[in-house]
Amino acid sequence: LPGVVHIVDDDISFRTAIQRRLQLAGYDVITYSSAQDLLERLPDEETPSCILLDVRIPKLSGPELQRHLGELGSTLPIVFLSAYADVQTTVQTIKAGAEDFLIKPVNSDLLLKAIEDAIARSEGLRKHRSALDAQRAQLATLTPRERQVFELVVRGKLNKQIAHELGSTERTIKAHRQKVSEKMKVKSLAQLVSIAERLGILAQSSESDPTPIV
Amino acid sequence: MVMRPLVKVCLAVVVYFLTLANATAAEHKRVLILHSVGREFRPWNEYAKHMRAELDRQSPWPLDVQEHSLVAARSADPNPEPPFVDYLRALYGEQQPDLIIVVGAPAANFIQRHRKDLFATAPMVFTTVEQRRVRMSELTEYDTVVAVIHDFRFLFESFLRIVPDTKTVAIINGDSPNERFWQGEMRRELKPLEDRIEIIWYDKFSYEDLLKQTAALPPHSAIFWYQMIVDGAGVAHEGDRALTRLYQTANAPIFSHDDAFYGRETVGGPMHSALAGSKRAAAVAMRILGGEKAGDIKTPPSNFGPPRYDWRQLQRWRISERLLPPGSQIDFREPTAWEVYRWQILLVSSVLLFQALLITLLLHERGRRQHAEVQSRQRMSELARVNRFSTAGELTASIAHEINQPLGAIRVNAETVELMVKSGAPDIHEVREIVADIRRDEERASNVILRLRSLLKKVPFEVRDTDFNELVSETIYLLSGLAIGRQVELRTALSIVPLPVKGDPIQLQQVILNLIVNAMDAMSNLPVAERRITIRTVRDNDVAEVSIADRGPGIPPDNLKQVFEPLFTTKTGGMGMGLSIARTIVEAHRGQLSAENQPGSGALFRVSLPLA
Repeated sequence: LPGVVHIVDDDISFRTAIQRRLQLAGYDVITYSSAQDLLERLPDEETPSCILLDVRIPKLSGPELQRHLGELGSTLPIVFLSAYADVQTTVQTIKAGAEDFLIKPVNSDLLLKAIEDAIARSEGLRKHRSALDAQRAQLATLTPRERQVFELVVRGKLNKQIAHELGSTERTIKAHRQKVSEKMKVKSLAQLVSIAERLGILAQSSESDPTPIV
Repeated sequence: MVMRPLVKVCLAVVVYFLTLANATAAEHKRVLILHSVGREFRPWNEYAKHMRAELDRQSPWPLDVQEHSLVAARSADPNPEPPFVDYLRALYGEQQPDLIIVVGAPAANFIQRHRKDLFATAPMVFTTVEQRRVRMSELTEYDTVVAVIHDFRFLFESFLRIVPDTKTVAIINGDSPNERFWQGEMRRELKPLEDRIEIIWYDKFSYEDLLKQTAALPPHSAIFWYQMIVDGAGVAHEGDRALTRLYQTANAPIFSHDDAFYGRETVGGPMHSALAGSKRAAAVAMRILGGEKAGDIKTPPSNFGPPRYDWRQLQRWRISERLLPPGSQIDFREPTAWEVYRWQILLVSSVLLFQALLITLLLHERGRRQHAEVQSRQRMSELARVNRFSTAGELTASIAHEINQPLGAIRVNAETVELMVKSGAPDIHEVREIVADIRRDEERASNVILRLRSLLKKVPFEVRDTDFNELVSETIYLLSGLAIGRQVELRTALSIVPLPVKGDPIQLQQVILNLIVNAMDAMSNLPVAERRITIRTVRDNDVAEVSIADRGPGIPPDNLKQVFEPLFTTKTGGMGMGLSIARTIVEAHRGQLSAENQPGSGALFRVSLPLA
């Protein structure tokens, strides 16, 4: 699986060596001499890619860059590569979502495996993200009335209840439900609930509805 | 009228003295001393002197002494004799002397010839004469003899005993009748010694020639001085000048038979004593003057006195004192420096001794101090090394980083090139590039290890010429990893002129290391962006200076003085040795380490070392 690897290391020698090896393995490589450098040229998240990050780099350190990227909403998997690993740093970075933590000098196979995994994850994330985007787009096609019906349906309300709540007839609600199912391309109520869950709709307005789900 | 009593007194005094003079005149003893060859001749001058002194000393009566010299004794010429006899008769014909002392053989012969004409009944003492020179048969009842015996053989043997290797003896004896007589006597007496020594005579030589001869005597020679009244050329020699000149030119020791010649030139030995002889003669004279009949006084002839030696001559001729006959007396021993300057020597040597003692003590102290200094330097070195270890511990992370970085690159590069080669058609240009990279990285890793090893290796304090700038940049390099880890920015401003100093590079590096690590520690609570250390080197006249400034909280004014004290620390994990060791090292390099607070914020440490 080809992809792009972003290498952040202040050591040009090491940077070049890794670049060579990864290119030989078929990856595209972009190098950065500092954390600042990467922040200025943020990587494209749409291609399968990962960041190979040194812990000790001047000014902004590796873990700090990880935090910054998190704040910026980046989801690129990060593989840490350090010449010296203390337990504290390792734990901290892994907890913050690092894909892997490797120690220099690193075995190529180990490095390539980590990169492969990271890129695969990146690819998975990308796919997940695009599926989500498609569902959001479908959601956007719903009329306000259909959206209201959708939100109530996924909370397990019966047609009668919904009709009562929205001041409509049971038959009209039924028609809306039909429309929603078509637009959201689902065949069952379970599927619809799952989408709502993923798009965060259930969480959004659960508090506004005191009605218990029986 | 006033004068009259005074004149009377004067007259009375004169009369008194005249009567006194008359009274003593009645008791006066008139003594005539007849010398052989004049009073200036050695040895008779000594005898004459002692004789007069002894007479005066022993006599209870006032003496009226007349002295005459028989000058004619110098030659065999009888012509001057009759007028001299007439002269004596004129003087003493009317009034015979109470006593006549005849000194020496020529005078004895003369007086014996003319006794009847001149002094028929006057008592006579013949003295300073060898018994052989008195005609015993012609002695009258008014004569007595106080003679000596010359035992030449004994004399020579005594000398040969103290200088056993003597082979030649030069005999100094003149050519006057008396001297000729003695030459005959000596030849006869010394005959038994002929197989032991060769005897040389100079009686026919002028004295000048004699001096030349005796100046070049063969080795193992000696000179026997008998007398020199008239030399072979007929020249008379007065006083002691002849002997003195001989002494000055001769190349052999001189010995003699009479102590009149003793005291400067001669070695000594058994000798007749002028003083003892004169004493005996004077004693006899007193008995005669006291009324005893001269003919009744029999004095046995006296032999040589106990041997005496001139210490200076013994020294000059290297004659061992052990060879001297038992009971010998050594004269003129030059007082040793000890005898003359005893107190001075005692004082000086005690001062010297004291001084030496003091010096020894001081040297000992100095040795101890040096030893202590060496030890303290050793301790300092050891402590400094321990401190370096602890610093190295702190540096572990950055050192691992420094080493693993190139190692990581090497491994990846190696694997890459391996793959490329395996693939069959490697890009040779790239392979070459990779291999070059591997070599460079390997060098890098080795350098780090080398630096670390030199920092930690146990080396004695060693002074070398080094450049302070180089030292500082080296240290900063060593710390760059730590600086990254600690997220501290190191700013350097090194002087462009070189800073040559003399010192132990490792220890000096340690000083800078300690100061920079200290500065990092001081800023650990600061936001990352503010953590900055400025390292500056400057040359100020003959001083090289490095300053290390941080932006931390600085040193509380109360602590400014204590920061360099051992075990003083404000850090939770600190030992309190870093700065103390740094200062000790700097001071061992005759430099200074000081701390101050900067006007803005932060502390500034300054190391100054004398330029080499």
